[in-house]
Amino acid sequence: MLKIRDLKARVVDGPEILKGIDLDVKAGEIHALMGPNGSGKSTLSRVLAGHPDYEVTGGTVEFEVDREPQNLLAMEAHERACAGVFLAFQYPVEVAGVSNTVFLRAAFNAICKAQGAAPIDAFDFRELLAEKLELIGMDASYLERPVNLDFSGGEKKRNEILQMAVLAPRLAILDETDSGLDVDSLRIVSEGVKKLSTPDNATLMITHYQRMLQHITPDIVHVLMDGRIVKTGDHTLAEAVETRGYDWVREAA
Amino acid sequence: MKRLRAIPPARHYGEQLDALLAQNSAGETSALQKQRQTAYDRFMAQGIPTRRVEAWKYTDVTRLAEEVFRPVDPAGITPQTLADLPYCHDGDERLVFVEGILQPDLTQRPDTSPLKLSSLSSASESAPQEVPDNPFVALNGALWRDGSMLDIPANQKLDHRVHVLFLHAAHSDPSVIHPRLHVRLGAHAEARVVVTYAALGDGPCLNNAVLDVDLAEGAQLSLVQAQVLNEQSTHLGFTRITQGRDSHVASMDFHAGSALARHDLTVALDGEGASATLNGLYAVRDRQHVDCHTGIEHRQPNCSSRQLYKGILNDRATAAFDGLVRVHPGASGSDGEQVNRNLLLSNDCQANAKPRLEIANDDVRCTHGATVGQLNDQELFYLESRGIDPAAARDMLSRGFAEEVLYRMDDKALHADLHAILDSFFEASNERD
Amino acid sequence: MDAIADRPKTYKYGFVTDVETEKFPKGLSEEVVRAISARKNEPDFLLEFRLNAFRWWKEQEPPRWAHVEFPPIDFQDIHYYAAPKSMEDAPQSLDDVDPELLRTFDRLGIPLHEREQLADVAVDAVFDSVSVGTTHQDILAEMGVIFCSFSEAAQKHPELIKKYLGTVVPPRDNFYAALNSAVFSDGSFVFVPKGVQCPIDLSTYFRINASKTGQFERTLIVCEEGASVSYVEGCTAPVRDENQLHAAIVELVALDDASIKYSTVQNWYGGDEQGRGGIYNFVVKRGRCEGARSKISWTQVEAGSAITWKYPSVILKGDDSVGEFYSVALTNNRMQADTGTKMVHIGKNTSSTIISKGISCDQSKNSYRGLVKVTPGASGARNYSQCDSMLVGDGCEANTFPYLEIHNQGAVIEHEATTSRISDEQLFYLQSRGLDSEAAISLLVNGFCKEVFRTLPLEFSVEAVKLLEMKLEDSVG
Repeated sequence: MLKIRDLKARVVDGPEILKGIDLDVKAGEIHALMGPNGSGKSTLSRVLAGHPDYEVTGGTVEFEVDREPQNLLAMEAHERACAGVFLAFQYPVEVAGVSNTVFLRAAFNAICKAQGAAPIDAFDFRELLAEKLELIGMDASYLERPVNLDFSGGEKKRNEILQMAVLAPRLAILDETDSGLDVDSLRIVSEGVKKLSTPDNATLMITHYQRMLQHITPDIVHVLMDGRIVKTGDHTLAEAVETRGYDWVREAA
Repeated sequence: MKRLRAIPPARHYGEQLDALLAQNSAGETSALQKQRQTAYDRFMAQGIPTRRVEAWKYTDVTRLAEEVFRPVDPAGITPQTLADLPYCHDGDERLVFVEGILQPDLTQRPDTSPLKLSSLSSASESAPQEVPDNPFVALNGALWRDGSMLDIPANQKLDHRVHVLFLHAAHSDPSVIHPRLHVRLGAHAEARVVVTYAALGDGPCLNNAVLDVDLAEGAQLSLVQAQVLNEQSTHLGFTRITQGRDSHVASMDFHAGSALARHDLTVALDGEGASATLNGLYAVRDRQHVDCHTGIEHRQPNCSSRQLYKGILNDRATAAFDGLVRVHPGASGSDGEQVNRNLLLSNDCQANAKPRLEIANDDVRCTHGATVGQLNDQELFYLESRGIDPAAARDMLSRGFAEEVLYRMDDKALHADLHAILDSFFEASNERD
Repeated sequence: MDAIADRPKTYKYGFVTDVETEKFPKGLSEEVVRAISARKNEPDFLLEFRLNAFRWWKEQEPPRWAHVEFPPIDFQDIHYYAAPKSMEDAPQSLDDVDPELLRTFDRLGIPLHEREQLADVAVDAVFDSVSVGTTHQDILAEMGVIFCSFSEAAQKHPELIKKYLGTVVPPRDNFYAALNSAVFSDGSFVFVPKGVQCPIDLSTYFRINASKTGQFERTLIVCEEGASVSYVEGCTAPVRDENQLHAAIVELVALDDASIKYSTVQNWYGGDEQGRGGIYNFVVKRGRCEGARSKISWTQVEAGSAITWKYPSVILKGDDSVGEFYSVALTNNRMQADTGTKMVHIGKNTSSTIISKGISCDQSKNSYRGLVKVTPGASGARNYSQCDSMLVGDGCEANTFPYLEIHNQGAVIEHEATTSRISDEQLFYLQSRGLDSEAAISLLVNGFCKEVFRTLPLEFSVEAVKLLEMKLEDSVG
């Protein structure tokens, strides 16, 4: 589904952060990408989502849409979303004046349109939302509040997963979704992510700690250091990192 | 027909300057004398503003063009006088100015105090400031008789309070003081400074104060200014605070007493990460008038300012609040909050509010709010339904309104002082009800 | 047609119409005032009204207190009267109107021809200084509603004009009010008699075409007891390098239980990116809730003009009367807007609401200035004000200057203001959810302005949203 080859990127006019990433993600897989602070984890997620602060200096990213590989790097941020890439932000952005419902329906219909489906009316959309809300344990009052404004840290993260549930992406990238969550929220968010995982989609969890991995067992774990993936393994790799630290990986690599 | 924006001041101001220059009791240098002359020329050029000038829209000071207030010589104040004043506390480092002149025998200084005290007559920093739309700063620069520079050296933390008292002794002829004070905190210094303007008798007086405050990097100052003059007095105050990087000022601006009070408080957030908390409380009754202006300049990134000014008005009193938060083009990450609330206790009082924002940077978080109203019927009813009589309920809620500002003061002794002053305000108010 | 070649792409109304124009020579004098009045064959009281205003105006200096900057205006370098020449022999009906003019209004989306008229909106079209046609006259006449050009009203209903003209905005109110009172050219007159609910929206469309010409319209709307009307105005002007002065007056009078809703979509040319050209829009708009339980509601979407200086106000004289002000003001390029409202509470239990949304982009300045005044007798007065600013880019200014003057204990007055911005980070967030930049901006702007858009008549609300999106797109991203 996702094929990254020798991807290099930097902050516009800044030093190179990604120094040659190779990564393959197939449908039905859950990947975890771990790494110390500053290793380039968040940069990778934002580059994949098309954040304008970054520029790609080398390499390719292929993303399969209806079995057709597409050049992801040539797409605008919203085109990527319409193609089925979803980034759960580490710091979800506050949008005053726009309610969650209005925002979600606009996004949902934009994606429907891009995929050739008919737009959904407000009434049906409400039903769809009600179902998704339950999944992540949010009550309907969230829907009328402005997007993320005055949400607690936990609420913001849950709101990201709600969006993911509604927009049903092919590839979900979760950027440090476990940070800043209390134990209950972490469990709810993790359960939600698990339920949303199907044989047709894929999940890439980016995390510094193993917290979320205790709830969701990844199929494949990668360790990112200094802009490169230095080690790949199964879920036991995450446990080894947790107990032995990143220095161990550095030495082993 | 054009209405005048300023009125020329009468001759007596010039006579007072001439007398000061001729007498030269402090042995001033010619440079300082020249500064006085410059300031006086500026005062004359500016004239006394009329209400046509936007900054004086709500306060009429035109009578000051003609009215004569003369300086008097200090006399009759003893240490016992001070001991009887409720706001003089043991353990304070205290400077006492009577009729605008520092009294060494009334001054109280701990031996170990790191505070450096010097006279502004010898300091070069006393050059008069040019303030548009405020001729009274220039007038102060021309006619001040004595003033002090307070230096708190870098990294010094003052454990005790510094109290500067400007006192008008009791006399019947109209008198004038031009208080002048400069407070400087070195890098990472910490201090608590209280400035009180008080009158002992009930004769008319003019109090025209200028206070300069400079905070170096990381300095922290708690500043209380309490104006408790008498009901015949006119208070004109100008405070200019300049803040360096990561410094913090907590200011409490308290007005009760004078017939007319006007205070301009400006804060320049000149260093990144500087923050200012400005609280204010004014309580006016009879025909008293108060006009508080604040101006906060966010000049550097990531500075924050918080303002809460509250006013209680009774009888035929009038009040105005004019607050400006200005965010300059480079000051990203600015965080400004400004709130003004006014409580009207009578049908004849008037409250005016002008909370202003001028924002020239898009990365800011600024809000302001202003309210004017009477006591909340629901709250009154709730109290009454618990058996409290209506007058007591009103009193309780009015005090609660003031308390929302006062409780922000960390200094419990000062908190009690201001409470005591407010008590007399509410008692006077209740007597009439 | 010289100006079209390099006109900015965002201003789609920037064409000049080739019609023969009759202009008075430049400059203002008592002779010019008399000539305007004579040309319109006005009754004597109107000439007197003009002359009184002119004599006072001569003695005044232009006010400078607004937060805007512009070089002094040379009032002698302006034509005070311009009219399409074909109007010389005043058309008897729309069929007589110069086809070129009708085409102009067609291009503006305001069809005047009977067969294409908007079904539920009656339109009075004003081209430079004169009204060129009013639609739906017959339906309105049946109900006793008068809707015609001001000039026509001066001929046919002089008693109504005499009774109400200048009662809300006296000629000596201020510099520009006096100027307008001396030289006003044309405008609309609306009179809704007792008990009549005007069944269709009334609309005036203003167009400045001639160069070096000031436009000074005068609109007067009177609703008698229990009557109501919804009125909409729209404005455009060609792209020109010079600045043109527009100093209009709108007066509204609402008697007992009457209700007037006045909506404006203002899109005069605002100048180019360097701030060259554009309209100086100095307008006095004021309504008087004369009667008990009357209501006046202003909605404005201000998206044009090099300088906007206007404060649609309500004098709440009748007991239980209601005033409302809903505003969206967008400035881009180097436009400057100083706009807001005045709510003057005089009667008992009066209430007012102010919702102001300012959007500043590029190098523009956008200021809200508003006064809430509660006079001593106005017991039970209520006001709620909300003034929000949105900054787009780091070169613009957003200012808020509210004045609260409260002289009555029983008043409950609340004012709130916030600032926010459209940031790149916000846009990316929305785009990462599948919205293209146009849809993302539209979502943000609609969210920011929704309380105001909600109050506009439907078709104008759609127009207003499109207008703002179009202007913002150049400034964002």
